[in-house]
Amino acid sequence: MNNISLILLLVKKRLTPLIKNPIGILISMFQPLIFLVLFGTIFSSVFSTSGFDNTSYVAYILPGILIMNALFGGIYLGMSTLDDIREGIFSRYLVAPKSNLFFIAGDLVYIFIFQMIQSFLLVVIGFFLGFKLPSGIIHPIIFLMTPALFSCIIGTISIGIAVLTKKHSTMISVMQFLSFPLIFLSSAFMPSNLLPKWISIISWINPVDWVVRASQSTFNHSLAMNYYLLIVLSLFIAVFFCKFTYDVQRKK
Amino acid sequence: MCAHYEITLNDVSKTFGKKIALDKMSLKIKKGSIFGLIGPNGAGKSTLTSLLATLSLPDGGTVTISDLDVISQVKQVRKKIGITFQGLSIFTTGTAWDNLLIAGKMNDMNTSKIKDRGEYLLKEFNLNQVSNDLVGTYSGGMKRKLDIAISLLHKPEVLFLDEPTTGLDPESRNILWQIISNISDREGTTIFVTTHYLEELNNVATDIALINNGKILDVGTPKELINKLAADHIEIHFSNLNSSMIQKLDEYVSNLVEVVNYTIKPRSLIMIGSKGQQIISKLLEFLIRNEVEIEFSELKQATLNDVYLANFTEKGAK
Repeated sequence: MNNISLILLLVKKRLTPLIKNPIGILISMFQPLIFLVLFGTIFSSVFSTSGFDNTSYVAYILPGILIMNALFGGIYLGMSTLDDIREGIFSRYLVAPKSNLFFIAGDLVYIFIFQMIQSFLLVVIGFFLGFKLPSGIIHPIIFLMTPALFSCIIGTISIGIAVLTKKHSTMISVMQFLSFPLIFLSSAFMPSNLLPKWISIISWINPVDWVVRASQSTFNHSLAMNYYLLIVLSLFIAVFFCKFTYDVQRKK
Repeated sequence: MCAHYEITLNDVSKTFGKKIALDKMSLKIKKGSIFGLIGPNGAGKSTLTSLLATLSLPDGGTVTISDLDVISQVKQVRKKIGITFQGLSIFTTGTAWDNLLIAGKMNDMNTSKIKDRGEYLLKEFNLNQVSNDLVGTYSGGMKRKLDIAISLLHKPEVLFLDEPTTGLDPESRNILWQIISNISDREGTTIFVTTHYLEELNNVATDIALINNGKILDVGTPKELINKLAADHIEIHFSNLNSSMIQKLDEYVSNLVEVVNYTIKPRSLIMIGSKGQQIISKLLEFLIRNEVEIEFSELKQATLNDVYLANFTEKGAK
């Protein structure tokens, strides 16, 4: 019970600044929002190109936009860890008689909730641009949960990098290096059959592509379980990596 | 096994590359004592503190806290210790209670225990009136008090304080030490402290260790260390000396065998030496002979500061 309370208190610690300043929720999703509106409008004529099954280009790219937003949100989670290191709270975590997993879990629950809120807001905006959620009850929920899960994976890796590097500048470099290539080397904005062959090949090993495909599958009768398994497996590996970065802080 | 001692180190070594940070160090710290560790920068204080606080591992030797091995029983050790780091370890976007609740849960305390203990500590540290205010609005002294209160929340058997009063004004420092020693007395907490304010240790520490180059040079009560020095503190203040006179005075003082250590500045000469009365007479005579205008001279018992100067500063510092 104390462990659950601890996780919830850590979530509250992260959410409090956002509750006090909710505009921050919108500001942090500004870039994906711009992509949704601009890409959705500028490339709407692409819709007529063969290979698109969707009713509109916005309907096609919205899952990708949610994933993009989740990627950015996840990457920024490491910044919060850097704040903890700067404020000295992180040192308290290290000497606490608790498994580091609880501190990681606190951050993951926070980013999951945060992404669910942002995904919901993007879906509402997308609705006015012609997007419709998958039909039924389970599939729309899974559709919203998929980017949130992805942000947990990226967030965990980001925390690990923050713990290892302890520098804002390194974190920003990592973000810039990873974010856009991962998005554009996937089928987030273009179906894989319309992508150049080499991008299509790279996308096989791109986690963003797995998540986009998983998310897009919520519109079908059956979910792409193979991609969901890959996502869950990736999350476990990321958590393992992150815990390792905490553990090595007890310097040899 | 060693009921009398809270912390024991046996032949503890730690190296960083080629630098020896701790050199086969052995030390025993009594239960309930306020133990001060003093030494110059790079002496090994932080390495020792971080090792005892389970933040790093020794290369060799054994370390126990409350008879628990800090390497193999780390989780149990962490339940018994509290630590206040050199920098603050509190989150400023929450209240004092938000900080206490997280710290309590990290130490497996239930909410009612956290509330009881938290109220007691907030009152002791005089923070009860501001406990629901955002910590970001606190003064530096209040933040430090909260930081220490958090470290004491789970009633640790050992509290590590790494330069806890750095950056505080003298009044806040005095108040803080008063509270810490009261709690230590009442709860029997062993306190391990590093500080550069030696006069504070003189008042509160039961034992002090001198550390340099990763080795413990001496351990004793403040009085024992001062007595061992067997020296007086001498100060002579005069009108501004020119550089040639400073040079002349330096040569003269360095040849006085009774002088253990000294510092010359344009307007003062501060010395530690045995047979203080003899030294002061010789010096006054020398200064008068050289037509130096003497403002005042003082001879008093050596302090911990003098112990520090005698052990760790270069003789004849300017």
